[in-house]
This record gives sequence, structure tokens and C-alpha cells, in this order.
Amino acid sequence: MSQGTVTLPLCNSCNRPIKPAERAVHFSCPNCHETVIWRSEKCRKFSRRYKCVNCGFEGP
Amino acid sequence: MSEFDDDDAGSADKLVAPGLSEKALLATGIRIGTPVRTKTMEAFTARPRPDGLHIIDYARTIERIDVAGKFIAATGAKNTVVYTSREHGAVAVQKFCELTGAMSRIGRFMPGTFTNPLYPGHLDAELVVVADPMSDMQAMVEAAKLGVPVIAVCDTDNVTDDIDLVIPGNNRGRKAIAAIFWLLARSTLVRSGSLAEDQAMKYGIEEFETKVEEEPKPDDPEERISERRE
Ligand SMILES: [Zn+2]
Ligand SMILES: [Zn+2]
Repeated sequence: MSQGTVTLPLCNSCNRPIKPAERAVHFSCPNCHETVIWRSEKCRKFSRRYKCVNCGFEGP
Repeated sequence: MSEFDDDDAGSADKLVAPGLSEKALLATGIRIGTPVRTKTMEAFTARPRPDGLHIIDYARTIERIDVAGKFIAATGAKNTVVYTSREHGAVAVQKFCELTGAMSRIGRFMPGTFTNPLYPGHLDAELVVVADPMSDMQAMVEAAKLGVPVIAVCDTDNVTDDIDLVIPGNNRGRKAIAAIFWLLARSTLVRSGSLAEDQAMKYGIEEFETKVEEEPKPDDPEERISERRE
């Protein structure tokens, strides 16, 4: 990775990169606590489904 | 609370938790929804009752309460704020926080509670639990500003926007909300290793219930006293 670039986290639901200014949320999987789940502002707003890649838990 | 008017009132022998039968749990009205069902709550509802009320699949309530308990235990109850704006869930929230060590807020949500560190009543929340996303919206708005995840008890008519973990359940009934927070307290304590699965908690479900003066129990002297005070 070249200097000055940042890797943006990806939204678990829409897979788009999450911009730093966005009102996104991230948390460890409520069920297994093994993975970090990012939800973009939009996906969270529209109650879009997220899924843990480790345990398969689906929220919200 | 209306009785569930079919043969599916739960088993008196099947225990949901120590000292709590399935029958006793269902008698709290935990699965009785509303005449309205939102799209996102479809996944948590079983079937409408003949009178049109949507019935919540209470197995999913139990399942989600356990996931929520894990979530709170992993975050740390002491970093979790539980909020209810409404009186009927006040005792449930207080007792939950007393047993688990979570922070409670009841009644009006003062602006800045989460977002303004200079506000004297400021709380540093890493996780927020609300009893009703409709009436407790202010806390959710501030949580969203900070990127703090939200667990919400959602009835069949609740919109689940800006919620990260739904606990499906009747959030309008005093007994139902008491049952939900009682089970959530158990799960949080068990999942954080401070209560054994077969161990009883300090309080029973009744002690999580907010008593209202309009519905005095004839056998409860305290209720009669408060009634006389009117
Ligand atoms: Zn997204
Ligand atoms: Zn997981």
C-alpha cells in the first residue's frame, strides 16, 4: 500500500467503503464477538440485513 | 393483559429459566403484538390472532435476548446505558441495571446525555439499550451521532431503522417488559460468568414490574396504601 492511502472499512450489507465522515456504526458480532461488523449510515437507516461471516448470525 | 385465547398457552412443566415456566412467561403477554406489523418485524412474527393482533414468535424473543445478553456481557454492562422514556418500563430498567451494573436513564432524555461531555448528566455509552424505539428515539439519535450500537425491544409495529439488534417482544405491557428485562438480566449475568445457568437471581419477574395505581391488587397492602393516598 502506498503512503497516504487508507483502507476504508466495508459495509457488511452493501459492501461499499464507509467514509470517515459518515454516521456509520461498527461493533463486534453480537453473537460470537469474533468479527467486526460495519454498517453504513444508509444501510443502518434502512434496516438492511447484516450477516456475520464467522457464525452466520443475521441482524438487525 | 388479555389471556391468549387458544390452546397454545404454553406448558407449565417446561422451564424457560429457573423458576419460570413457559406458561408463566406467556401469561405476561410477551408475545402479544399489535394490529400493525412492519416489514422488518415480519421475520419475528408467527401468525395473527383471530382478533387481528400479530403474535410474536417468542422462541425468537428468547433467542435474541440471549444474543443481546452476550452483546452486553462482551461490551461490559458498566459501559452499557439502558434507557426508557416511559414509566411502565421504569422498574424493569432500574432492576436490570441494579443486577448487571449497567447505567440507567429513565424519563425525559436530556439533549447531550451522550453527545455533550460537559453536560453534568453525561453518560459515556459504548452500547445503548432502549425499551421502545418509537418513544425512546432521542437516545437513539444521539447514539447514531456517536456511532454507538443500539439494541431495542421492538413490538410488531416498530420501525427498526437505526437499530443494530432487535429483541422482538411486547414493549407496551408492564408484565411483558418486566419479563423481557428479567430474562435479559439473567442472560447478561450468565454470559458474563457471574450467574450459573441453574442459579436464581436476586429478584423475581414480579419485582421487575412497575406497579400502577389504576390496577391495584386487592391482596397487595402497598397498593392499597397508595390507592388511599389518592
Ligand atoms: Zn451499506
Ligand atoms: Zn458472529
